[in-house]
Amino acid sequence: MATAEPVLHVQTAANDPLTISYPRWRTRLLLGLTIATLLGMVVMLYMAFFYAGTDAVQGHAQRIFYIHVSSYAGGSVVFLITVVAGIAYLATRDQKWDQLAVSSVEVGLPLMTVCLVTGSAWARPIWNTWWTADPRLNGMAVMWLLYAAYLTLRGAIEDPDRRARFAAIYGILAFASVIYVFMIPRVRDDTLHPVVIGPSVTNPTAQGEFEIRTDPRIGATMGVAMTWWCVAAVVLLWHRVRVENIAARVQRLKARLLAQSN
Amino acid sequence: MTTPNNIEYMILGYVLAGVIMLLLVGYLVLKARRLRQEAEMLKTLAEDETAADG
Repeated sequence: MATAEPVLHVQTAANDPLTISYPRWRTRLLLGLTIATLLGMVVMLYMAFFYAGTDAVQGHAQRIFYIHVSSYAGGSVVFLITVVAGIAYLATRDQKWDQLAVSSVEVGLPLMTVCLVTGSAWARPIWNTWWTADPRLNGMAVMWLLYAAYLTLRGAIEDPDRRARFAAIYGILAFASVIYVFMIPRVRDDTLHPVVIGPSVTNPTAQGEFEIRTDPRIGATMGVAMTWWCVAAVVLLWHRVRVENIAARVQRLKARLLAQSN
Repeated sequence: MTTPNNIEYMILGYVLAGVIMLLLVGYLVLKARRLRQEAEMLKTLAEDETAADG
């Protein structure tokens, strides 16, 4: 046994690097946000199903847009955090930023999956197809694959510093696909995909627009849904980061145990 | 103009979204549980080794 190594069981939580301790207010804030997110989900679903009226042209299928658009917003928020974490890692070389980056991709990818599958479920009755070779749809698929590849490629690099450096640069560059998907129906006039929020070019090809600008109930429901998905994304990310902290603790324990054995 | 009856697609969309979100939450819960168990096991191992050396 290496005598220089401090033994595990005599260390207190305050000075033990192997123990995770958070300020109590932070844990309470996370708990409060988690409960608020669960309650907010009930409000959002009530508004989507009962408060917002049924679209005269699209019928009930239009209600899918409340989760389709807003899950993209939530995913974009966490992918933006990937960019911030990547820049912070490259500036500081602190592994905690890499942990935040991987956590944000692991949360953002399922949110973008929600966007993809709900878009497909909406397109079937409105466009009469589950999927079509449209610039917006293809861009979305490429974006999804880019972030799925981020997770796969990370697993292929063993050296932690090299992996974190690669992931930081990749995460920053991959965000270009998020911007591309957001911009494409706003600048091109040959996409089927309608622009729901914000200005766009006059697009005679777009099919499936609805009256978000003129119907205050639809606008309010979309606003609540957007807020909910963005908050839910951050809350899930916070929980995911805590899981990553436990994983880092396990690694430290393994290293300490190995040092003790030698 | 008649409003189309396509409620089954709305249900499909919301169910798929719910399943994906449940899978994400389940993944986080199970991963946290597994890591906590692993950490406890490693800590016990380290304590045993320290006791054996002492």
